[in-house]
Amino acid sequence: MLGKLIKNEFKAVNRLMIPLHLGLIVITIIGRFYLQFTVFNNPSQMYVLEQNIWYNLLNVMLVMFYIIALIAAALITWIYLSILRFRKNLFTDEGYLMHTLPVSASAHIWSKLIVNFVWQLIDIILIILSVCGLFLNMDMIRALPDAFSLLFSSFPDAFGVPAGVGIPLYLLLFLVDSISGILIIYMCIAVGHSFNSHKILASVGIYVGVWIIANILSSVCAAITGMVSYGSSSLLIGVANNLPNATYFWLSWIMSLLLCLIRGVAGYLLSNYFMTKRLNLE
Amino acid sequence: MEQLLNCQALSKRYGYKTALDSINLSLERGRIIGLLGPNGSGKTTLIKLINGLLAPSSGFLTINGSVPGPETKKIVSYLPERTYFNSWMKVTDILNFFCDFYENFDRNRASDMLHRLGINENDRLSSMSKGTKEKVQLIMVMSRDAQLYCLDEPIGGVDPAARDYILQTIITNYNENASVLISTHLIADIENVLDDVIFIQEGHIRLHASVDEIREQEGKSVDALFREVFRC
Repeated sequence: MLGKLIKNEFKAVNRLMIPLHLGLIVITIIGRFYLQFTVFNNPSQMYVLEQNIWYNLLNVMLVMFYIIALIAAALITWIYLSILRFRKNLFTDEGYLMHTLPVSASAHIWSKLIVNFVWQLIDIILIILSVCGLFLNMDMIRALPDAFSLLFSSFPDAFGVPAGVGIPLYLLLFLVDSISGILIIYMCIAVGHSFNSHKILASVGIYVGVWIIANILSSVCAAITGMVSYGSSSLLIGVANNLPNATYFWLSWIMSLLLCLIRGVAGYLLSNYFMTKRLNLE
Repeated sequence: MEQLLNCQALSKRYGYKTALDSINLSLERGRIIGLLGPNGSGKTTLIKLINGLLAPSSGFLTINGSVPGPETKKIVSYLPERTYFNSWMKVTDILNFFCDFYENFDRNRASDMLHRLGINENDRLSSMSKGTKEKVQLIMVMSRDAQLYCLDEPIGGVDPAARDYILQTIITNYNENASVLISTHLIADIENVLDDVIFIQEGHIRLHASVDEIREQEGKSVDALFREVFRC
């Protein structure tokens, strides 16, 4: 049943997600051609200065338009998948159909989460590719190996561990954090919609409350890691002033991962409970 | 065989308002039951509780011996009083959706009924009138081989000719193993198909009797009795 839910979920969200991301690709291709034939095509470094002010102004506007389009694509993807789609499909009129399917609440949550995650991943990858595709030229590509080796060699100085350890661990943390972030939003919607009235207001209120608690918890954890790694004086002078060390990296990484896992598991369990035992469709 | 539906001291409160007050009710198989009552009497609340869209405030109900959940949803077919399909969907999309999720959905039966009512399977819901959408939804719901059909205001928005066809469908579709629970105000229209009636008022069950009993004991039609009981 989970497979069927995922299939139908993709079918529904692809209607918005595919045109949105095709639009992103089209803007990138047009932008690339534009840059190729104007800026990149001209060997002179003074090219920009030589141009008419209005022409430069137009170019600035085009770049701004591009940046806004990128932000819009990311925001629409996030808001639509994490908030609007989950709420509309499960807690408005459509919920009458979804919640009378012979499917458990956990299957609903998993199907939404998986499709949401896949599309957000595609979104991030496409945005990175778009920026690269728009501005990358041969000079930059030739400089890349040097840049990467510098990045890797300086990584231990900044984080206290080798890049080969730090980067995968941070990516893993980012992954868990994204998933738990989605589950927390689902949980707020599920709990808020168990109220008899002001369901949206309740959902937002719960989100704000959870956000405050999570921030207090992570501040406390950061203070503890700082004290353990650098001694109690770190509270006064701030962790940033201290030299990076491996203890600090590992402690803060494990603390962050634990906090994310707790948020994710709590989000999932509460969503599941409120969708099973406290469902309250108007 | 287990009782089809059993409610024990079932209550549902919304804040201070009590929609259902400690209801005890059991339904047998092979009956067409009218759930009748004025607006706001708790009809829709009861049907939503049966379908697990609401959780009871106290008491419990069982369908085939189990509380509402994925198992009971396999055997309960529910027509809500609103449109629950996405308007971008075509009728074929909906047919596929029902085939995917309900093992007891009979696609041929649905296609026959759609054809009979002149509904094209390639039409989008967004191009249909409200009444046509209601017909599509009812056809989907009645094309399942369920054990309990819960129809909330099934004929309110459709024209009298289609109404007759739909009632005919309801009578012919169900079997001795299944029951149909119909909530409506249009009593006169459906009186002839009903076996039993439940009168519900302000969250209490006023009467649960067979239509024959009412005719024998009261000497009047259900419609007339309803008007008498619920006189304003």
